[in-house]
Amino acid sequence: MTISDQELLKLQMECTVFFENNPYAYETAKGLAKKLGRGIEPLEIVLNRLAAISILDKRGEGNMAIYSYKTPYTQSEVEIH
Amino acid sequence: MIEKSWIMDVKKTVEEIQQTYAEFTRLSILIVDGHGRPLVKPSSHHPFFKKLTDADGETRDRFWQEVRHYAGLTRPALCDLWLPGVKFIIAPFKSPDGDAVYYVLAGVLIQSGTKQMLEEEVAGAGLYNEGHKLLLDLVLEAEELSGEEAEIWREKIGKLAETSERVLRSAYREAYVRERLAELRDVMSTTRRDRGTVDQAFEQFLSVSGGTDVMGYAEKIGPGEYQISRLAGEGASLLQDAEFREGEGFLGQAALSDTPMQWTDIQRDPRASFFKQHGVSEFYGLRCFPVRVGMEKLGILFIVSKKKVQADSLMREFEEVLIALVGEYIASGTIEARMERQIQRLRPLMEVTRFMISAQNIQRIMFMLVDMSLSLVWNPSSAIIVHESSSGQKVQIVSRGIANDLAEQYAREVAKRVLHENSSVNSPGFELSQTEEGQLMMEYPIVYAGKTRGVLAVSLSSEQEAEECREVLLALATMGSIILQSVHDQRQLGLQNERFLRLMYASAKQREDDQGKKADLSLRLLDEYARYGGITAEEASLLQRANMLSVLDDAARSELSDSFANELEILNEHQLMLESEGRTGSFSYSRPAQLLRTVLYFAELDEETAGRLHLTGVSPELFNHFRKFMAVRHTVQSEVMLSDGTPAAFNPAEAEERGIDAIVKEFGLSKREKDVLELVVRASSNKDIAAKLFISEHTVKNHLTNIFNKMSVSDRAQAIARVFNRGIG
Repeated sequence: MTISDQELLKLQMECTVFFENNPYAYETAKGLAKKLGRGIEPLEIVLNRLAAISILDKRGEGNMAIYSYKTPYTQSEVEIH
Repeated sequence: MIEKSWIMDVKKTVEEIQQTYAEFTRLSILIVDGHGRPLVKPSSHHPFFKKLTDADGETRDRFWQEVRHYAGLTRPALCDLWLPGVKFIIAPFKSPDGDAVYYVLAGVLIQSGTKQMLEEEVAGAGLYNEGHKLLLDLVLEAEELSGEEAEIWREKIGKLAETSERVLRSAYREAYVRERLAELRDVMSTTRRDRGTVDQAFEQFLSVSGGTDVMGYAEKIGPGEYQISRLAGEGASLLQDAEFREGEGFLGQAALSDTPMQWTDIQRDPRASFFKQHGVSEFYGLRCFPVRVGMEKLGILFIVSKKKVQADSLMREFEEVLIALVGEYIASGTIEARMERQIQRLRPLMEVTRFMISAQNIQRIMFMLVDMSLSLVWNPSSAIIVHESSSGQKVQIVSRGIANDLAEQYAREVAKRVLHENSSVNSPGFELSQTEEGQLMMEYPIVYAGKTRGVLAVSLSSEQEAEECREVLLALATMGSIILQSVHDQRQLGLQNERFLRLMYASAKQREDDQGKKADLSLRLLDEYARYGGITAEEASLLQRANMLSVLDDAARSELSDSFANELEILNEHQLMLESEGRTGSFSYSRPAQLLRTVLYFAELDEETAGRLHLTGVSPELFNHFRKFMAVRHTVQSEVMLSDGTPAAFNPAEAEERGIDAIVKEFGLSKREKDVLELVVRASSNKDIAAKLFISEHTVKNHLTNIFNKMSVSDRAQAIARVFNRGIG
């Protein structure tokens, strides 16, 4: 059964929020699937998408790939002038 | 299909016209196609053509062989067939589809005074039986005509050919258009039912167009760039996915134009090399039709004719209508697909909002806005949110996919342009802007508390992508604004409540001098402990509020119970801890309650290191950490006192600056180690230091080990104490 784009997008949001809430989490797709109660296959698609748009860091390939949150660049005191 | 129907419709009319001419000219007339097949029954003044069509195959073939000698004729002519002097009028005319030549044959004409001679010639001609008999009958039955009369009949038969051509073509094109309209209705009905079969529909449109050889659609894929995404027809498969730019070749020229364009006889034109390069070897003409939605050009629909085709105005009109319909079909499909994509992206926004509401922290909301905006659009390259700082003189940014210096540069530019002082609420829509590097940015204002407070900007590679994403990003930015408004409101309410609490605390202190002094000291200790890094600023504020509430009477606390439920819960726990002090057993209290108990214990004692070595219900780690802080605090304060003999106001900022400079010089700290030490002194945790300096926590620990080694201290408490010592000294 193939998962729809919309379901993938929803899962993508869920993953993004998970990693935002757990910025020090290092997860494999399998580990995350267990935590989120989701299937590995759609999760792998979503994790790779998130890695492609630089929201996640991906180390390694295949089953052993580990994903973690990439903290965005933050600067709280940029002088206007 | 068309062939059969139009022949049926027009047969009788042509027969009647043919019959009229036959009676008028007293000739036998036969109308045939290019292969000699009669189109209608012959009209025979004498039975020659009837006999000919009834005759055996050999006779007909021989006769047609004779006629074919005159195949190149373009005008009606008097021609000798079979025997010199046996004359027929052969009048050619174009077949209804314009592809072939048909003929009107009329005969027989025998010149005055030659009949007797011809009869003798036929007798001695040595023809085979049937042919001989037929020819003899023909000559015997034929009337003799003068040269002038023959010329008149030639002209008349020419007129018959012209009339036949007009009648046949008119009927043919009517049938052609009618049948194609019926096909078109079927195609439209199918495509309306099922949008999924676009390629099939394209083939069907091509089939409906009749004379068209290749139909294609080049989609705009970027500024000035097109790619052929759909093709129907044979011999052009290599064109699939081929790309071209505006201005390049015929298609590129069409892309620059807003109106349909047409070229013929293009085989040798250098602009047609695009087709040759992609394997299209046979082409004669090209028609291009721009496909657009509003002012936006989506692509070019094109039709390649492989051969020269003569089409009259009605057919051309039909083809133009057909092309326009296909264009509309593509445009409506594009709009439908875009809407579907937008809906797909709008639906998960509800989930996003749920998550964002739970994040009661501006920076976390900014993280979410940046991450979600990248997730919600196709092909994003970067996203940045610029938000005003509390002072209004600076901005804070969170960005992804953009170099740090460029992000800051862009933030300054946006701040000047959008977040200028006294800026009122901007329009709720979005704006397209371009960075100095030429990057296209879609900017959405973040508006709350009656002012534009920030901008969410997403960079996209094309205006087309911007068009597709604008609604969903607008929804995201609007939700972000609403959630930030809610956070702002809650903070405002919290501030008001806190102000009220402070007033009540100040009033209560006057009644309870001793307790008030202890409470004041507790407040100071919490401030200093936060700066020391033992607790966060948020924890310190929470415990300070609980501490202030501890001074109020029950009636006042009850009045504030709705606004400070958490704080009162901590106070309750604190009371339980006091009651259980000294007892044995297992106790479990929250960290804030343990902290409050410890702080109030030391404030009560007003001693830094003396007293108990543990408190019931307080974890030894927490207790010892605070005790260590008190020891450092005591050392610093003592040295402040000693320096000029009077208790000086302790200014950590000045002491820190002087102390760090002295330490760096004395122990040879590197620039990075100095940065780390500054943050340690400002009570930053390893995690905070890592985030602020963009290094890993592991690296922070390495730096700290080096710093401690160089300074000969064993932990951060001693390091901080040493910094303040140097700062004071």
